[in-house]
Amino acid sequence: MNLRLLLRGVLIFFLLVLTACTNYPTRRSTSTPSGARGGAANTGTATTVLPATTERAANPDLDESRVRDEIPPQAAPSVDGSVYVTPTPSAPVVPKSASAILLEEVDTAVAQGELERAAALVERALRIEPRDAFLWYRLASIRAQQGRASEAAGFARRALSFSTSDPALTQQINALLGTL
Amino acid sequence: MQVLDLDTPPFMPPKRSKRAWWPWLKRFVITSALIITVWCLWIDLTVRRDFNALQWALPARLYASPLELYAGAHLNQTDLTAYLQRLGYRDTPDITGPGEYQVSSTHVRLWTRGFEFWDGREPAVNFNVAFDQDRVRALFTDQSNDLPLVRLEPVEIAQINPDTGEDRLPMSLTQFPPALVNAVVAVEDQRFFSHFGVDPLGIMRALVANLRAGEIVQGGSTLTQQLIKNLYLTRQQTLRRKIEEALMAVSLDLHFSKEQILTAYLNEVFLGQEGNRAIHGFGLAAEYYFARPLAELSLGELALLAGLSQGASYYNPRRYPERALQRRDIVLSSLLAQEFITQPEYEQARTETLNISTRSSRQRRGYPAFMELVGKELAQDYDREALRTEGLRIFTTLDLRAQDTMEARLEDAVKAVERAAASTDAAHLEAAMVITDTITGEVRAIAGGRQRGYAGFNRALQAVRPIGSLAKPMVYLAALESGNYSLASVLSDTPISVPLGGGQQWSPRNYENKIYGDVYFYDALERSMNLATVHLGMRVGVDKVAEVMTRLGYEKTVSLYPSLLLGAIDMTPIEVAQMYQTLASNGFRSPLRAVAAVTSGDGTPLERYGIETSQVVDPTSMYLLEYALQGVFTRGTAEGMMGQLEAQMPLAGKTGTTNDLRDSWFAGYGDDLVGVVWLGYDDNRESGLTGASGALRVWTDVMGSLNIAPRRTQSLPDIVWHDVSATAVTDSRLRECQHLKSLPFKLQHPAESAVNCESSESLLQNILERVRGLGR
Repeated sequence: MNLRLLLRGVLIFFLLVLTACTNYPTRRSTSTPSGARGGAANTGTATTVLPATTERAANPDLDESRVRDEIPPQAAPSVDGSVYVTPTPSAPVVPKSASAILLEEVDTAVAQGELERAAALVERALRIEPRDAFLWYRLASIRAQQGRASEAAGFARRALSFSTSDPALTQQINALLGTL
Repeated sequence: MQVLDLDTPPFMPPKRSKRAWWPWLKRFVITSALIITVWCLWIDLTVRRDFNALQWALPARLYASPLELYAGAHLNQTDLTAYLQRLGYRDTPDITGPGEYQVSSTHVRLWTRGFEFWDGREPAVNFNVAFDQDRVRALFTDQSNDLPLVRLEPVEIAQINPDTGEDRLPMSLTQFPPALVNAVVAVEDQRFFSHFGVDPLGIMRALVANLRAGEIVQGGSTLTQQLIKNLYLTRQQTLRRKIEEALMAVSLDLHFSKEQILTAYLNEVFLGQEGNRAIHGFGLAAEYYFARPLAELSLGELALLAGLSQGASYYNPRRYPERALQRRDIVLSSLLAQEFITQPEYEQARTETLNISTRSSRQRRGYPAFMELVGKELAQDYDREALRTEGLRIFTTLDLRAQDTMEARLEDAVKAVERAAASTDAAHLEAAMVITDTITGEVRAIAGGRQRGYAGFNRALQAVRPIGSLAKPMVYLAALESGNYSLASVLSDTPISVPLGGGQQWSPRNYENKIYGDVYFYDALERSMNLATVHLGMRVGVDKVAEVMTRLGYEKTVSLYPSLLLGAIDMTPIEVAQMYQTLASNGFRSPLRAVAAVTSGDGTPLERYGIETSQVVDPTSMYLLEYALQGVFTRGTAEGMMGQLEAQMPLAGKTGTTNDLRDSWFAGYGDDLVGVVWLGYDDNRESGLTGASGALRVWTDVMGSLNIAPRRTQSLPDIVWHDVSATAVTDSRLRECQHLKSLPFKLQHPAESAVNCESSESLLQNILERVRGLGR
């Protein structure tokens, strides 16, 4: 035991000398987990680069999301074909529908140039209202903005397949298709 | 002695011989000092280098598609609480923080944890959900503000572990609850913040204690030393190793802050073993033992975890709850003794009962059949190493409700149709099922066998079987697209021989050798007539049919044999699902996907796999085909299931049966989901089942339980409805317009005159016939 202690003492002394002689420029704080994850981006993972395109002005129809407001919120047909209207609790204002709130986020994302995020948000809304022609149209216009014309055309045609009861929207979609 | 004396050099004084060892000692001391210095330097360098570069291999985590809450969502109270329980939420009478919920007679109140999704952060929210039977009626906060949409955290369904088997959820020091940090320091290394890496005082005390007890009862190693031991993973306990460890600890302490060392320790320490997965660090241990994040644990629970670091298997609370509790109480006493907690806190924590989460074996096995598809998709963009080490978060399209419901129903449903004669002890009727989203092409659920959680041969992805009559819709679609046929075209269901070359003939037959004669186009498809289909297909062209299959999403080459018309083409259930997906979405092909998005471990968005869609069939042809495929349920081979699916009607689909009843198929869809079922034997023996008597029944059971939504078909401007005679005839003189059948037609392609009951001539005849009918 004595020997060990002695040895330890000697070694500590050496180390102290060592540190005194060595100049450490930085003490990197990499032992925290956020540091441990640092290398995630480059080994074989393809990082999506969001195209920071500014050609939004090219499509005048893009900001027509207000069209949505005319559609009554949350009317989902039930099994027997009658229309199920969500009863609103005592709240005085009519609540915004889930897809309307997502469309607001979509507009923000588009305004910030985060087009892929905008597309992800529209898809989220589509999972809630898959037959909403406007959502498909919005996705088409985002893809068009990203320069992905053939994908945009696919979404626009899908939009058309749901828009028969809305001539104004049909016209908008056809206009978009014409530019692709 | 004298002889020896002669040998000594005369000039050397005899007294000097006494000090002859001195230069040797000097040399020895200098050499060993040098060696030790180099050794120290080396150790010092190693420690600094290794600790600076410390990067844990973190497994990729896979998540099911998250639950979205909004007014109108299909969800009842039981579904919601079951989901919350899977997330480890606690049912408490009084909600105080995230991860808790409370059920009252009118609604469920919950406080979500928030989550970093690909498209942004979902904040933690405290709100109420009110239900209206099977739907969400409203979401509102305590201030009665309506919330439009809340996305819950996704359920983790699997992970891809590094080769070391180590798993952890690394956290920064500030993320660890202070009570946990105190407990660890109090029980493992009281003087952690004051010693220099090793603790001579602690060693002395341990030595005394051990001597007194006559055995090893106390260890004197510091947290720093334990960390070193863990990081370098050596089990050997030699003296040299111990000195090295001590040296490294000193070096670590010299170069890095106490906070850095403590953080590394809290994330590194081994705390449990599950199969070949090693649980490291307190972040993961909280999930593993309590199914909740560390931040949500009570003092008693934190003390229990802190106690585990001394011997995770010895104190394993699942196996030895008594020991674990005793250990927890020791930790609590040291916390009290060192005044980290007060007496009342101590008393309260001691009364806590052990609340270890139960992890069912099924949950641990995950969903292997679905995971195989996920793995295949990920392999296109990520190499194996990245998935095992970078802590990626993978968001899949799995719908837990669909997958669990399917697994819960499948085995019994298969058993119900299994023919005792065909099955033996060694061979059971097997099954595969794929459920996809009609609109987006997202794969919702996969079963690779009839057994729940089955992890063997994945029939959904790998079993290639002839598809039989599932090929017929493609024949009829090719015919409709050609412009030469309408639903009212009259086909001839009569024997046919097709020359195959080399003098060979192919002479197909109908099921049970029936011959139907003149039949309507729609009727031949609905009732799956082989002869009529071959007549039609030979006219339209086998190549056209093959081309339709490719267009619908079948990716392999199709061999152009006439037998293709009756489905002599081998496909896997998922390949069938892709083709029927396109039919279900009215001619829009969307590639099936199981992976939606990938982020890094801290939520930075990486790849996203969004919806793609392209229109591959014109809407009018699709409209007409849909009419016949809905007719399969109302008039055709699936008619028997009408009663059970009454609430879901209309639905569309097609039965498939292969030669000698070896394979039984059904592919069908509603407005929301597409389902494909295959039944058969692995050794390809006869199952004795047709598509209708086997797969259809299983399909009905599962899809009915999932409450599949009825088809909604939108009318099209170039579709018109006309009345035709109820019976199909080719000779207009035999036209019979007493009984009428209303069918949709393409505007430019009306009914043939032989059956058209709307021309003026036939109208007159119609009236005459009605009069005659009255007179009878």
